[in-house]
Amino acid sequence: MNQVSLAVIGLTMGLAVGFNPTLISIISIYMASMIGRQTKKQYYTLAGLFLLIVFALLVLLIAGLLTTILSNLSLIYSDSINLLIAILGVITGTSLVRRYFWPKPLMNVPDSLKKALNYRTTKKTGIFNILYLALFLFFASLNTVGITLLLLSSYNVTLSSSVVVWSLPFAIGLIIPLYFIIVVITLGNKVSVVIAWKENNKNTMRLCSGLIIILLSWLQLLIIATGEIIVS
Amino acid sequence: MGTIFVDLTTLQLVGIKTIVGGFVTIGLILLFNGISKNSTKGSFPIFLLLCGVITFSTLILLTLAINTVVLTRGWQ
Repeated sequence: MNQVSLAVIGLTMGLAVGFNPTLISIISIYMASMIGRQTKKQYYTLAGLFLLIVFALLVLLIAGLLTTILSNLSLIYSDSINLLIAILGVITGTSLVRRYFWPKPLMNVPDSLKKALNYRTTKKTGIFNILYLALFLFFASLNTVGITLLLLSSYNVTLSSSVVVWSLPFAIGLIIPLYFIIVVITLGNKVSVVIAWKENNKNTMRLCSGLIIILLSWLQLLIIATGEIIVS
Repeated sequence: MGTIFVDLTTLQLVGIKTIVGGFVTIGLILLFNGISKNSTKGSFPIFLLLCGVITFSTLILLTLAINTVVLTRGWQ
């Protein structure tokens, strides 16, 4: 697998997990609150774009951290950790596929977190609030974005590639669908239309993300099985 | 030092066939039940079937991976 394939995988994975119902909800509510506060169109578009850029930078930072941690792990654990990450990917993917059939989550989000998110999305403004929101975006998408980052970092370590090769296309792919939502709202479409579209398609989005995460985990197992073989 | 022969082509072939076969089966199951309709919502047998395919393919790939790790590198 060369660097171009890794970049294409990064971009595809970013696009696949970027269509995330939770991320779309948070972005839509944030934009709606800005419109509700009579903010000028160019300001709320810029604020939305800035939030996405901060989120992408956070994803890049976490990708770098994960890769550094995984590549510096002792060789005693490296094979076991890579196998465990692939198994974790299959389990997470299956749990996302389950939500296509039964949308109710296995664990409910704590009320305190919901309140904090609502407060940060609708009441607060400013640069620090955008930093908080970017952290919330990452935390809310941990089961898709987090596990994908872990899997891609594991690929990176197995294939001894550079982290920028896949993390940059991944971050770009991740924010493209969210930027599309901002553009749709900026063009004058109602936020309720975006929310309704998200509600109608959220289970299919989860199904696609789940299946793609399973595919990525299977590829990881295949790379472990066929790559880096030393015959002596 | 003994020589360990690992038939890489066979391993790759089995692995790729497992991934493609698994995904085609999952696709067919979803297609058969209408991916765009609500008919599959809450359908336990279909979900069980999907879980079966996912587990089966994962186990084959896991066996190949463990086999390679143990045979060629030793368990690290």
